[in-house]
Amino acid sequence: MTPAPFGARLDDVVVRFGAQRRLTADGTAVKDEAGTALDGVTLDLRPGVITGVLGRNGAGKSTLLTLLAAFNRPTEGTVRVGAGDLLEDPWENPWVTANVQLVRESGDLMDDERVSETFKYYADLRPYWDADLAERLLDTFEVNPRKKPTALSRGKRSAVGATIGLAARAPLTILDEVYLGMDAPTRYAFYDEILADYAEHPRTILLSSHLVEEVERLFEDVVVLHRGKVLLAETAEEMQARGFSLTGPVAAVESLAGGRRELHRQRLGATVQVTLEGAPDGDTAAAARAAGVELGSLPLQDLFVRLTQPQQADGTSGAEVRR
Amino acid sequence: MTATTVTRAERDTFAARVHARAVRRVARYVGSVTLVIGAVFWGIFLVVTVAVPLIVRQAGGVMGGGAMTGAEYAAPWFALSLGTIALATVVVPHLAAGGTRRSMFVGALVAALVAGVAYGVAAMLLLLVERSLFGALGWEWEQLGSGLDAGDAWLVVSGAGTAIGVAVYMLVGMAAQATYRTNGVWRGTALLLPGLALLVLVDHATRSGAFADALGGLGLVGDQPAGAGLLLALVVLALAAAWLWWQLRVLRLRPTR
Repeated sequence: MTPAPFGARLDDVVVRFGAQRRLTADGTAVKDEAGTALDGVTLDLRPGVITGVLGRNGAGKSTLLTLLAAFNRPTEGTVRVGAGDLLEDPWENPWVTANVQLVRESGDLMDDERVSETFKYYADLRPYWDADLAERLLDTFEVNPRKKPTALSRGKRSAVGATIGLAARAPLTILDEVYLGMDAPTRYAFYDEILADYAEHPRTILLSSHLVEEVERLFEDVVVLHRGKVLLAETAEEMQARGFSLTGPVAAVESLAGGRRELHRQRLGATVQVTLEGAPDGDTAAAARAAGVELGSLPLQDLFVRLTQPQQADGTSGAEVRR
Repeated sequence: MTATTVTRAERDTFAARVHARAVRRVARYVGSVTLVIGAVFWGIFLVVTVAVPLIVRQAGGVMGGGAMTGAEYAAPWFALSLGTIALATVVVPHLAAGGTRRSMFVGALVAALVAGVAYGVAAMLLLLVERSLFGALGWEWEQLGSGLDAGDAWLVVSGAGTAIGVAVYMLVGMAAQATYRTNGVWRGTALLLPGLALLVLVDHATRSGAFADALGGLGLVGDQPAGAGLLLALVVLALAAAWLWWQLRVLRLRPTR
């Protein structure tokens, strides 16, 4: 029995942390600042799709994701996770936690044991663990399972985390910046593995990343967080309808752009690419074709940067403009 | 893998099954760490218990008490260290692998009880070995360590005292680890005090260990009947279990970036 892909709902979720000094594994003391990580987040996460969770550093992405896996619980508000009508509080709920796999950048491994021992632990607890897939992925990522995590490079350690995320086959799989330290070939192999496994074993995948250009092709839904609030939560299609790009000779592009709000501009010699807000009308599309200007879809990264940039020229934040 | 809609009954069965598996896994991991490394510990003390009297005899000396008392003092602290390390190793992967804090607690409790019984039995065997060796050497043997008034049942009472003491120390060690994770350095250190009080209490109850010696040295305690002492020790064991659960149930893994 494998349950249907899990979805989630958050209502008015607030998470506050107090200041804390803690010791890391290598014995150094680190101070975590006090603050509000999430501030009134209300959000639906659709089951059965790949959702990109985007935001700048400190936006609250990791905190949001840890709530879904019951690593944390909200200070205020409610979190519900599950399949169909069975949405439940994940905190201390084995039905939910056994069906949700969160992989953090650290990989959450047993540092003093071989990677193979950590995998045995996961295999015992994860009801749908695919040992063959785990073995194949470690081979793909060139990770020796007989090594201890402390003997692995950051990229290899991330690859171990990525392997856990995929091999667990959890109905809700959460990958929180697991790409860190991976080289480009490994990252692209990882993205391909996500898509292949997702196609074969449909489930809900939440993917948090700063490498927006690399991963946007995976997303069916997108959530953008900024300073603990949800700026945007919609399908990738809806998001793409928020703007478009024009690429071609400067004069032609300037003419077509007219008075539209510009999200991004990039110039290379006589060619310019501008990203504009809104959808192109039929006349614009025809004029672009006639002028030899290429009409493209909205790059998610441009929208993301625009939404989360601290201050606009007119004194308003990106978030205020959007709202 | 075909995704299906799950009924409430199926959900409950699934949850019970994964909980049981998680408990077994924690118990197996923490238990095996404490038993395997504990076997080395007791093996070393077996060698010491036998070798020291033979060396003393070879040198023409006579011993008033055996070396085994060192194990009785060291075993609980050894268990505390192992408990701290084992929980530090397993707690985050356990939660990441879908285990709950409750399954962590139950598994850790089972492991502590198993380790306590195993260490208690090992202590009894070493006491017997030491007494036999002293007899063979023609020396008079006197048990050091436990001060419970047990009469003929001294061996069982010693073993039981060691077992309960080891389990309490181990649970307190694990609780300290969980405390630091949730509360950080300063509050975590302050919250060591309740655990420390439990260690003092169990030493006092079993009349063994460094704290019992310290209290005895201050003239604060006298002899105690074995039954009453072990009963009090069991109450402390229950309190130590409650203290570990209290720390684990609020354990939060805060994002670290």
